Amino acid sequence: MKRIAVVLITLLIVASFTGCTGTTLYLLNWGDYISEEVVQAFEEEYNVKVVMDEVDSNEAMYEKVKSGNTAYDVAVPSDYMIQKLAVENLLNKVDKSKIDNLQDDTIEPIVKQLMQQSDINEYAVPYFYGCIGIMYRNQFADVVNQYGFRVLFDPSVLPEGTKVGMYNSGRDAVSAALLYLGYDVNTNDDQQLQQAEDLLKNMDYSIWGDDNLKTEIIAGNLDLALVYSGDFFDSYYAVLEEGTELEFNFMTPLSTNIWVDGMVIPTTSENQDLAHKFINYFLATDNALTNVAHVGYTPVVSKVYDIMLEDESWNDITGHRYFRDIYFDENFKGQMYRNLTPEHYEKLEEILLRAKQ
Amino acid sequence: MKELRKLATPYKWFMILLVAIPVLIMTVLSFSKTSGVDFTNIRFTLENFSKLGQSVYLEAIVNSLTLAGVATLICLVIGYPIAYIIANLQTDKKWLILVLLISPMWSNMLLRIIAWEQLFKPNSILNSLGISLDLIGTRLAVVIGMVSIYLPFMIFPIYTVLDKMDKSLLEASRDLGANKLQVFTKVVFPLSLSGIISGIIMTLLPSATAFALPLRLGGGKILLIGNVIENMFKKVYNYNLGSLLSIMVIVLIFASMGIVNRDKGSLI
Repeated sequence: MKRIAVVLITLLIVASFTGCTGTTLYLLNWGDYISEEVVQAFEEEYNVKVVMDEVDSNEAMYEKVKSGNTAYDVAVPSDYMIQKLAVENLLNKVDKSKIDNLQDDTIEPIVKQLMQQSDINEYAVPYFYGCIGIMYRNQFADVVNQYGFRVLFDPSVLPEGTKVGMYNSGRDAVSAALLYLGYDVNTNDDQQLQQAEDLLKNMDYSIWGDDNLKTEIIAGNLDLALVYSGDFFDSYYAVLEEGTELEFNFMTPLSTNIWVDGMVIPTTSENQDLAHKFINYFLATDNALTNVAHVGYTPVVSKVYDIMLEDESWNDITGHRYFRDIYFDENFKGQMYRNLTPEHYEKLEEILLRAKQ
Repeated sequence: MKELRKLATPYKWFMILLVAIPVLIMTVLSFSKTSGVDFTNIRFTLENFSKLGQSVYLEAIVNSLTLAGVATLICLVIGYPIAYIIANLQTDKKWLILVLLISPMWSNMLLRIIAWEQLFKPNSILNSLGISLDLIGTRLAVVIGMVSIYLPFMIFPIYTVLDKMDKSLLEASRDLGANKLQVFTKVVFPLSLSGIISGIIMTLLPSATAFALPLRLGGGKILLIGNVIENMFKKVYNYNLGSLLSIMVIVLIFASMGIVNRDKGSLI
């Protein structure tokens, strides 16, 4: 996919020089995180060019927006980064009156509510969302479903020799511990953080990783690990496509961290009208559905999920426990990462370092 | 010769632009508090230094030095005999052996690290031979990785010195009645010290500052200073402490080179 994207971008750049002098929309996105089909349809409909830059972290996105070297019209950072960008006056407010497809009942209630709580509702329109949870090999299904986050911190509930992996990031590892303890993921309370640190310290993790956690679970070198729902779905779709046996699964703890990636309009934008049209375009139900089919993450548009439920070809996904929990379980509670002070981030990273000592 | 010096001008500017200026910026960052490399709200302070005393940072430095030290020692123990044997081979095919030694370096270092990583996992290609290693996350894995990757850097400087050694010195020492062991301990070894020292520098420094290697082979569990610095820049966004740690590593490197060079002077 990446190669296709690169070719496309190159073509787009070439086209923008040779073709008509239509307007250009600069999009800052994650890799392989948008349906080219929808982008092309948008280009044709509005007779514009979309030029896309890809990054692999929120921090890289922040640096790009802040540097202002490219006049990005739309970017897709996550919750806490939207907050940071907004606080630093790097975002324009999204003019909701220009987005016809955004009605009161368009967006999933949980996403809307969390975005309001985090004060990012005015600056962003949600794009995809998901959570952190536990990816496990099937023979651990019972214990994982019974204990949830506890399996990451309490070896006494696990069979002898279970190999557990943990996210190699202070924020995520500490948050999982805080969620297990029942605290707020954004807490800066020293006592609560100390408890989280003790949990991380007392557990012997086989691997502290990131992208490799999912591959190690598939390879059988790890039994369970904390992963992002997106990590799981990437692996899940790969297996569905290959038609091989599914040896792993994902558990959504009912109290977990919810991430939301939102489309924002940076202050660098020279074409705000077009940016609004772009955001509007991706909220249209059929476009959003095409986009979900390509990206494979949880749709934020409620109607899209309804359509998916009715269509049998989506059964594998809509029937998955993750989707059931996240959409229907009335006990499901989400907490969103807020932007923290640099000192707070440092504290979390130091907890991680000490836990490994 | 003087005309040739002009050819070095691009290199000089290259060094100024990509080494001197960044080091200067990092020095400024070390003594201040900024948000990233944004100097608009710069505030000069020494508070970064107070962090250095914390056990996590100290341990990363100690880890780096011990693991790199052990790896270097092993490289020396393996590398010296190899260099000695090659240097004394009575054949005109020496170049072939040298090429074989360099050939692993033609493949990307990261690729070789990942290859080791694959072998060290419990489920690996080795299973077909009935072997299942579970070394990821151990110090042994990190040391094996360092030795395999930096060994050629130890062999070559020693080989060069041994190969260039004036053989008449050996004949003279034998004429004066030294036995084989004495020739080695009194003549060959002291004369090859400069090669050993360059070899040590060339293996110790890169292995002490490695960050991809401990991350992959150490399973994220074994922290070297390189990992901490990477974290400071990429995750914590504390460019100040990151710069300070980097500068410290540079100082440590130059200090050790200085000590080694001084000792070398007194030894020869």
